[in-house]
Amino acid sequence: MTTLSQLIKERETFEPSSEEDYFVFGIEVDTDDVTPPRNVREIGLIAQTEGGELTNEVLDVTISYILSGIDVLVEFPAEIEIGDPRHLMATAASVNASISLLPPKELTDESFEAYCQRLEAVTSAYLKQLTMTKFVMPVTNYLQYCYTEVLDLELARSFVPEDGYVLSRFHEAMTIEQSDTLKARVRQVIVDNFGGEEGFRTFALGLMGSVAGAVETSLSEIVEERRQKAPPAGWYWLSRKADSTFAMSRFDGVSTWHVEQPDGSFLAIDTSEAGGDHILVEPVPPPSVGAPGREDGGATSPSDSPEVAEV
Amino acid sequence: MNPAKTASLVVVSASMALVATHAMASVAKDSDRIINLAKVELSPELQARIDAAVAKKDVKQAVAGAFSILSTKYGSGSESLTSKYFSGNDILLAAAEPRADDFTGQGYIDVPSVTCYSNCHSACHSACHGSRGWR
Repeated sequence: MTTLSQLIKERETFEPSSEEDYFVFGIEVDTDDVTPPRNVREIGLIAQTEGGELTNEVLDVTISYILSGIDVLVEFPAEIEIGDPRHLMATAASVNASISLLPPKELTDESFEAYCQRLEAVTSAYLKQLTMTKFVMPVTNYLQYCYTEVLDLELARSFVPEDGYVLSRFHEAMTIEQSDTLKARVRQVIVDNFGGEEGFRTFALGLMGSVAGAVETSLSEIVEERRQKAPPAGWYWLSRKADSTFAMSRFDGVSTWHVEQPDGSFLAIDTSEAGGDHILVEPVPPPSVGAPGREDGGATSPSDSPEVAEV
Repeated sequence: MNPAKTASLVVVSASMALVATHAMASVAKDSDRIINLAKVELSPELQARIDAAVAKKDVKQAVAGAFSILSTKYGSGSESLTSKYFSGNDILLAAAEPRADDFTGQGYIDVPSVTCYSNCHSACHSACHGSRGWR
C-alpha cells in the first residue's frame, strides 16, 4: 500500500509515460497536506471511518482534490464499517466522489455473505440517491453490463471486462461462482427497483433513447449554426485557392454556388466544395439583367484591396 | 408489483445516465452496424425525470466525449444520426481535412471526435480508455 505522503513526494519528479500512470489507487491518507500530487487524474483513497462516518482527514483530502480537478474514488475495504448506506451515498453525492466497495481479502462463506448483503444495501441506496453524479463500484459496473444486455444481448454474452481496476479489484478477487452469485443478488435489487426485468428494460431503453436524443439535438444545433454562418444568397467574388484567379459566383443561400468558368458558363458547385477550394473576397451587386452571367452587368473585378469577407 | 406505481417511484440520477452513456459508447465501439434503439412509452413524469438527468453537466460531458461514436453508430434503420444530418460527402470532406477558413460554414463539419485530452475526465473516461463494465 502506498501512503499519500509517499505519493506526493514520488510525483514531484515522476513523469508519466502512459495513460495508466495518471491513475493511482489504494492510497492511504496519512497526511493532512491537501496539496494534490502532480500528474494524477484519478486517485483511489482508502476510506477511514469513525462510527461509520468518513474521517475528516479523508474527507478534507477528497474535497480538496475534487475541487482541483482530480477524480476521487473512496475505496472501502470489506472490514471498514460503512454505516448507513443511504448516508454514505448522500456524502459521496455531496462531494462528487465515487465509491468502491472492495471484496474481503479472505473470502469465507461468512465474509462473502456479508459482502453480498453490503452490496445489496448499497445498490438499493444508490438507486434512490437522486443527486449521485459519480460511480459506485462494483454496482455501477454491473449496471453498465445490464444496460449492455438491453442494447445487444449477443455482444453482452461475449463481454469481457477490460478495465485494469475492475479486473484487479473485483474480477480476479473472487471465483466465477462467487462473482455470478454476487451479480445475481445485485441484479435482483436493480430489477425490483424498476418493477421487474421488463420494467428495467423499458427504463433502460427510455434512458438510452434520451441520450441518443441529446446527440441528435446537438447535431441539429450544429447544422443550424453552420447554416447561420453561411453567407446570404447573392453574388460574390471568389478567389480560387489553386491559382488565385477570381471568379464571379452566385450563391443560392442554401447549398449551391454557381461559379463562373473561363468560358463564361456557370458551374454549380456544392457548398462544401466551394468553401474548401475558394476564398470569399467580397460581395458584389447582382448583374442587372439575366442571371447567371456577368456579361450583362454587375461587377467586373474585385476591389483593389480586397478584404476577405467574414460573413 | 404494479409497474405504474413502481415507475412513479423511480429515481433517475445523473450517475445512472452516465453509466448508460458509457454502455452505449462501449457497445457502439464493438458494433459494425447501426444500432436502433427500440422506442418505448414511458409516463410523462418518468420521461421528464430521465431528460432532466441526461441534461446534467456530467452527462453532457460524457455525451460530448463520446459524441462521434454515438452519432455515427446510433440511428434508424441503416441510417446513422450523422448521416441523417450531413451528407456522406460532407463527412468525407470533414474527415479528410479540417478547413477552418471555409467561408461557407458547410464544408468542415466539426463533429467532436473521441480524442483523449490531457485532463481526461471520468465522465468521458469510457470513450477514451474503454469500458468499466463488469460481467
